[in-house]
Amino acid sequence: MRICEISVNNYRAYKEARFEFIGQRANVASIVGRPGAGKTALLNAITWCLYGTESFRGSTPNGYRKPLPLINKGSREGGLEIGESTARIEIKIEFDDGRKATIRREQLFAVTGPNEVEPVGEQVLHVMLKSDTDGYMPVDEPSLWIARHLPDRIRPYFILNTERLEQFFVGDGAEQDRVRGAILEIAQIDLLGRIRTRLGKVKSGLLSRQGDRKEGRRGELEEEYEGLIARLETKQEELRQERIALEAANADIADLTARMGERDEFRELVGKQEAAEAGLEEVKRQLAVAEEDLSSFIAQEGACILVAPAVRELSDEIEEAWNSGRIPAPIHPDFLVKLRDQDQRCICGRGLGPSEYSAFDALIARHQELSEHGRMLQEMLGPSATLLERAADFRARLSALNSAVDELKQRGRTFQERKDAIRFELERRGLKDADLRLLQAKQDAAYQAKERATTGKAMAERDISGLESQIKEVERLLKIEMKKDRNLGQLTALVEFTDECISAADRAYDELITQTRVEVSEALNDYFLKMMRDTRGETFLGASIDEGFSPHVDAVGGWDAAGDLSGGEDVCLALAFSQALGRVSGFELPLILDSPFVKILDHQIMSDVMRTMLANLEGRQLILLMKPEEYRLGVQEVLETSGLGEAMRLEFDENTQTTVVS
Amino acid sequence: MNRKIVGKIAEVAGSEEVKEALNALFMFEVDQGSGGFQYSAEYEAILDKHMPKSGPDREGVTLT
Repeated sequence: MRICEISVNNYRAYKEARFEFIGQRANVASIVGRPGAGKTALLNAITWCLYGTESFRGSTPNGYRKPLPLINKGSREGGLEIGESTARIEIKIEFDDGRKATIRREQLFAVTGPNEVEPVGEQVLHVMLKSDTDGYMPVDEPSLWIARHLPDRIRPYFILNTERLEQFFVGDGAEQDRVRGAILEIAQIDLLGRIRTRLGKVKSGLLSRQGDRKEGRRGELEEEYEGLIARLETKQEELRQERIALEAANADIADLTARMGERDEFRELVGKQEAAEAGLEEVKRQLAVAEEDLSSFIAQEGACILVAPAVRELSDEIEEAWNSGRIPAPIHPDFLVKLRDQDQRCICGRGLGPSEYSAFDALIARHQELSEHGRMLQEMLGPSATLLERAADFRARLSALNSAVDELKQRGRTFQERKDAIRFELERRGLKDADLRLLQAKQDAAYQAKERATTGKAMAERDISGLESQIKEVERLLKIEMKKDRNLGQLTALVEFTDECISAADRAYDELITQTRVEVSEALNDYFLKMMRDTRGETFLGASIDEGFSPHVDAVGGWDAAGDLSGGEDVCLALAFSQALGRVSGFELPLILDSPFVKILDHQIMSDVMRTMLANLEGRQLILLMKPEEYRLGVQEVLETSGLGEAMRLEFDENTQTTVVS
Repeated sequence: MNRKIVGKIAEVAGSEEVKEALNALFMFEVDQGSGGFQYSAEYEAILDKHMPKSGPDREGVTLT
């Protein structure tokens, strides 16, 4: 990867500037400027554009720059114009495979007075990738893109200033940490270390959660659950018994109720029996009355009954005699009737023959007899005129009485038969009052049993309902605990898996750091020897990084010269180390050096180092920011000899307070 | 360098799941930059996602 162009607008010393790294400057470019001319501002412009931070402390001829807002302050006379101004850096890069990208960061500032500048809003970062068909297309997550292609952690190893170069191998006891850190960061092995650390924390968290889960209430809840289930089963058995009792009581009640029906039938039969007996008695009474009436009637009306036929017979005889002429005409039946009624004897005075008289006498005698009898009857029974009617009535009444008696007798027999039949039926069924009372008592007991069973059933059902609610709640809690247990299993599995990952991360970390250290050490040796051979001949036999990350420089004579290097040699070692890191990193990084040779006093050495660097760039872009004397003494000649063009020069215009690039 | 680390992870990982989990964690770290935040939840989610899912205790259970 190389930087093709850097555009700077309203940033620090730059009002508007553009650095193009094309043509002869495509691979090696030098930018020369006095202190305060804008070299460090350019470095900061690069880091601010990529990471949003300024990494280097700049200087002016009068000292270090104050951390003022990064917006260009404008001309000394006029200062900033009131209003809004945008600081903007744009870097165009090209990858080795030809892909091109533009990275642009900008920040809006509000200028309210000569030295009153405030940022407005957040910095805005854009990354645009050039495609063959659609031109530049913006990247959705520009920060992420930069993190993946130019991670901030490796920045210290591709943008180096004098201080940084001096720091690497200073024998202050911390050089091992710096070297180790550099190797870890440039190779991103530190990410594995971070993964390892964070996995450790994750594991601790998982173990803590495991501990919490292991102390769950499952055992207690299970015990409570079993207790509730036992109580529920007891209650269910009670309910079952109560239901059985209830069913039995209901069956008893139904049976007894049915049998009570027999009781009612019995009562009905007894009633009928009693009615039959009463009816029989009544019939007997009525029969007695009727028989008495009959006797009385007969006694009273018997004579009439007896006489009436004789009277009728006599009347019939008289009528016959009359009709046959045997009785004188005057003697008319009516007369006889009158005679009967008035009891007259004068009928004998009319003129009758002897025979007639004789017969008549007989009749008279008979009549007299009858009359006498009739008179007696008359006296006894009343007028004889009603005798026949009374006789007929008598007969009718007598017949009616006889019929009534017969009927009563029949009814009496019927009642008796019914009574006998009922008694027979009662005896057949064995229905007795005592049994019926016992039955009633049983029915009462059955109802009481039903009430008890109903109450017991309701209580059992209520208890069961309560227990079921409790069981549901415990089941719910148990499910939670069981889920926790399942999660515990999951946690355990995750802890095991985390352990496996930690173990693998550890191994990858250890192997990679060893492997990378060896690679860096070999590259360092390679670069350093090339540099040193050009300048020091065979003075140094090699350079290396040992297992403890301490740098070593093997000098002729078998001694370690790492701590005895001159300033220039130190810079060479640092540059070689930087080159080595770049080779091993895997990133196609440009190498941007700010005043790398100021500590090298020997311009020959400076030229040799420069030449060696150029010879060993291995396609890596080199951007050199140098002070004029640094450039002039050791670099310019080498570059010009190599045909790498003239340097870009930075001049700070005091009037406009602006750096001018030429 | 990413390829080197990914290759090393593949070399040392005892299982495909471990390899995938470490790769995911590595890319997660790359994407997060150098921020000093705590990523326990994200780490746990990545581990859970790549963990073998066989076995009764590992089915149908979420950690959160």
